[in-house]
Amino acid sequence: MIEIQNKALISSIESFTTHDGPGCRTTIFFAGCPLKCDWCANPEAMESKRKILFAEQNCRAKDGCSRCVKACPHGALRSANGTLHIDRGICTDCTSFNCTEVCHLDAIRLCGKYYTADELMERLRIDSGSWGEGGGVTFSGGEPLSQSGFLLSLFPILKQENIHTAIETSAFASADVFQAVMDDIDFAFIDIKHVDPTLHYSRTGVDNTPILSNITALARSGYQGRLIIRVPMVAGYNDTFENMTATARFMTELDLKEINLLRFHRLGESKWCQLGKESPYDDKPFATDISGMKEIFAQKGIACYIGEDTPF
Amino acid sequence: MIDPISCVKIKRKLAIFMSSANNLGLSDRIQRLYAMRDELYDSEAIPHRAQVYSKVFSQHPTLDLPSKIALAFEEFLSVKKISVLPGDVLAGYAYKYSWDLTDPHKTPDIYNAAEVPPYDPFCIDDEVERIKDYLGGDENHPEVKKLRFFQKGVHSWLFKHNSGGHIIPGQQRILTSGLKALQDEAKTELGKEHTDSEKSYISAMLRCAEAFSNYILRYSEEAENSSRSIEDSSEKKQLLKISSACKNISKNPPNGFFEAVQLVWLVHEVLITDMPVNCVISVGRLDLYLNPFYQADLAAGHITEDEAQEIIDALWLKFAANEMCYQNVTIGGTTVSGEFISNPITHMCLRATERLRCDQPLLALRYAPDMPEELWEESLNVLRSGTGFPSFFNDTACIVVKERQGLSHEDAVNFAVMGCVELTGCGNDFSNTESMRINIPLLLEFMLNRGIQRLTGEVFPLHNNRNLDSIESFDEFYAWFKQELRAYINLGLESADLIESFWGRLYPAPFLSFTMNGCVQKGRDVADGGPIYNNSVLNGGGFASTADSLAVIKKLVFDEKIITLSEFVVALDQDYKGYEHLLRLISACPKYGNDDDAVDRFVRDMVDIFIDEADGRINSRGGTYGIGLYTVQDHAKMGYLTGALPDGRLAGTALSNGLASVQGKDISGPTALINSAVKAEISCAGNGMVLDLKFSPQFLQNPSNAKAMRHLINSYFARGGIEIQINVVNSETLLAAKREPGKYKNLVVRVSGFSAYFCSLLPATQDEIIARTEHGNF
Repeated sequence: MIEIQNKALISSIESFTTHDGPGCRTTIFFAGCPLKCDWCANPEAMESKRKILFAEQNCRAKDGCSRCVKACPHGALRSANGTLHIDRGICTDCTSFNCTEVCHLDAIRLCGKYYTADELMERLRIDSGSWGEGGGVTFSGGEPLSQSGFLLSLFPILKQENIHTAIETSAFASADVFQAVMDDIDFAFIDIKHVDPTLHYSRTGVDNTPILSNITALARSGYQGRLIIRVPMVAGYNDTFENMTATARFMTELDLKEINLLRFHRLGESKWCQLGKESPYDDKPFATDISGMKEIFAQKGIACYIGEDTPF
Repeated sequence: MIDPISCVKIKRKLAIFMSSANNLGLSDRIQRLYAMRDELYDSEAIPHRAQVYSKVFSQHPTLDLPSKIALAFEEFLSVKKISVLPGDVLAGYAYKYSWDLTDPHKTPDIYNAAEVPPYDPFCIDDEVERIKDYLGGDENHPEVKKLRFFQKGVHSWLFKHNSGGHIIPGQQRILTSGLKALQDEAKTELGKEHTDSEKSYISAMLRCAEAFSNYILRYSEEAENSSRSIEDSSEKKQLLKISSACKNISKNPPNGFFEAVQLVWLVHEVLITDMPVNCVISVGRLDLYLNPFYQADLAAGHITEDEAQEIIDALWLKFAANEMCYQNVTIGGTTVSGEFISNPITHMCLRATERLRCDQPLLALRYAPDMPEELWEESLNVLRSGTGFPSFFNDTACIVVKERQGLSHEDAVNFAVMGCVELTGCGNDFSNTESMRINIPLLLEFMLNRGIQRLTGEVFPLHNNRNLDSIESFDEFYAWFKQELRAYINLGLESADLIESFWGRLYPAPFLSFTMNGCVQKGRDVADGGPIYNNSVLNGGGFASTADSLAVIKKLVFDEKIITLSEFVVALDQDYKGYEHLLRLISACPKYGNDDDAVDRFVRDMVDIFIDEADGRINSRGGTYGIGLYTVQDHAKMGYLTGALPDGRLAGTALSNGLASVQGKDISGPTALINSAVKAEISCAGNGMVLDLKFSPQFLQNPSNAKAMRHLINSYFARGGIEIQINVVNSETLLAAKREPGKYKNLVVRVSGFSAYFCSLLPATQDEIIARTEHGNF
């Protein structure tokens, strides 16, 4: 039995997204993820806690502004030589976030907000006017399955209002959580970052066994929704012929017919910086040429969409 | 000063001709004309016109003004330099002037090229002087005194006032009947019962019309002369084609597509010459009235699609030469028989805009949810090219709102977009669409600053002088605001209407009047009740700036009592210097554009007041008022003289644009912005409204996004929206966002499974996005 959760920690909500499922959608980014992918584009959603983002280019410490320094009750901030320094070791336990209250320049922002199901529904109702046929809500993150107790409390309401549901997930969860959530999901993007367990572990920090077995179970359960496998293409890691062939083979066994290869981008780097962290991924090619991969899948009768070409 | 995103329409964009011109499918002729377009202007025409008018006016001191103008018009068209150049597709050429130089009444006295300012918004000064003279020269005449106050308001940008122009002339009538038949009608009218002044005015119109016919004949001769010295047979053929076309259309309805376009251009070119003060002349439903000519030619094998496209392209280049003239072309939309127009000309217009990328003409699409898919596809192509065109108008709602303003069903169905976003009848309607706009936030400034405009020191008495410290509740403050808004709306409307009541007599435009349905029959000027419809307008500026300011006052002053009104005034006096903590509190207050009733209600209430005070109100010309919720570029000009506002806006910066949120404050996505806007009775905006949506460059590349966009438009229009403009953000805007992040907080970078605001990205990442935008490969 999965415990119902009254509140979810959400790192951001986007309206009118069109890449995260069919039609116009509202995408909800849940905070917290069991994977620790070093190329992560949403690092602010890796941990299940609220935190401050610091955008240095907006900061006016060099002009003598020190309101955040004065506001911090923990002494975590100091301004020296016109630069603001944040002691993240102290910050990490903060619950008051006074510094974010006093900055009017959006240099320091609070990331993460708790929503009840009602509050979230209120936001979704605002957006629902523009979803239209096929549109709806997408659960993304972070990892939405990490707050499955909340999702399960939300589903009855979504069902009642006939709202289309989509998910972007790693499928890294226990079999019962995964199955319980997927029962109410109409459209799923499920990542297979790497087919090889060792290599999967090396860059994500977790074993891919539960992922592959969850996908297998789902595919064999006669899943009624649309399932698309997704791979974020990371140069020199999973963009190899071997991995793509293995992925295609895995899909063929399960009779899965669609895959989406995402071009690598490093837009998330800014957010690593704002969290006061170095992006652990230092290779950073801007994009991998992955158009050649299409053929591998085509041979197996699998439709392969590159980048944003997913036909909804 | 002008928000670069929201002013795409008015921005003097240098048309960027792609180095790959050959790939755009433009004909050789068009490519040559395009390359030469800067040399084809006749910058001497206006000074020349001034001399001619001056001379003719002094020769006939005793004639009435319309007769003098008709004589001067006739003289000028008979001597005006004309030329038909080898390689020209159409006869007639551009003057490269803007409206500031186009008043033939005014220029004889004052024209001096060195002294004419680049832009003079204050036609009010001349108007008040003339009305004063008309009333006997008495400065103390009550009407003069009233206008003096209005004049001060216009100078202070409390009011925007611009008379004349802003019209769709009777192009369609001229094409259908031909010039001679319309002239004969005027002659017949002279034989009917009319007062002397009406007869004199009909004669003036007739004189102008005949002068125009002769002017067209001059082109016929010029083209023939030119052809003699040409060896190249295809050029020779083209010149002879121009010559024979001009000969025919000088009298008769056009014979074929080419002649029709030629006539449209010459009428347009000369109307701009004739128009007093403000030459905003739009073109109407080009695809509706040109298509029959094209179809007939096509059936007879006289034209190919490529040839027709070349003619439309050439017409576009003629329009493009008149910068800032708001020459709006309307395409699409339903007809009286219920059919939706999506014909070959519709597509040619879209293609011309897409490939030539000039900021003129403006292109408006009358949109219906069930319009053909290929029209939507073609429109998307144009949007992707980054011009901001076409803008989309809700066909059904526009027709309803024009009927509400007294247009017959048939005339309402045949409405077109005029200037920026105004909706008017075609060839039968003079609605003076820019005669009055009120700067709403400035009224808040007066209330908070003892009736003094902070940046100029000018005094504007309040209806009710309140001691700020004595106001105990927000409701009390808000009731006061509504009272002042109503009072100043009335004051402005009364003054503007007073000017309108004199205008047609003081600034007659006989040739324009000749083209309009009704003027010849009544013997009256277009601005003097001549046309069938003679409506007026009340426009508003700064709705969102005011709403956000009211929300701040409510929350910080009255609900949370963090600051008193008097203390707030000190912060405004200081332009928030030393009050940065207050700015932070302000930024946490509700903002219009995010579907928050706490603040959206203020915009709804203001629009209700507009409707209550103006909608259906009778004007002095036998028409009624309608309301306009758009600002052209006035939100920048009004903002320039408006001090700091309680919503955190700094002194001198732009106000909010049209019905959009304050720049960058709509951070909850386009749906929430639309939800906010539709809470107000926008479907009553008979004079048009503006809501701009901005999308990052990669957005429209994806077919599913294009579908989503169409859905968004459909749902917005289903809820009463009148107009929407989709802007694909260009690299220029992204650079601006990088410089001034505060104004562009709402720019979202949308990539699958990723979310970030552009302004929060690292400078290096921003540069990368800008670079990719420039190369169009997101």
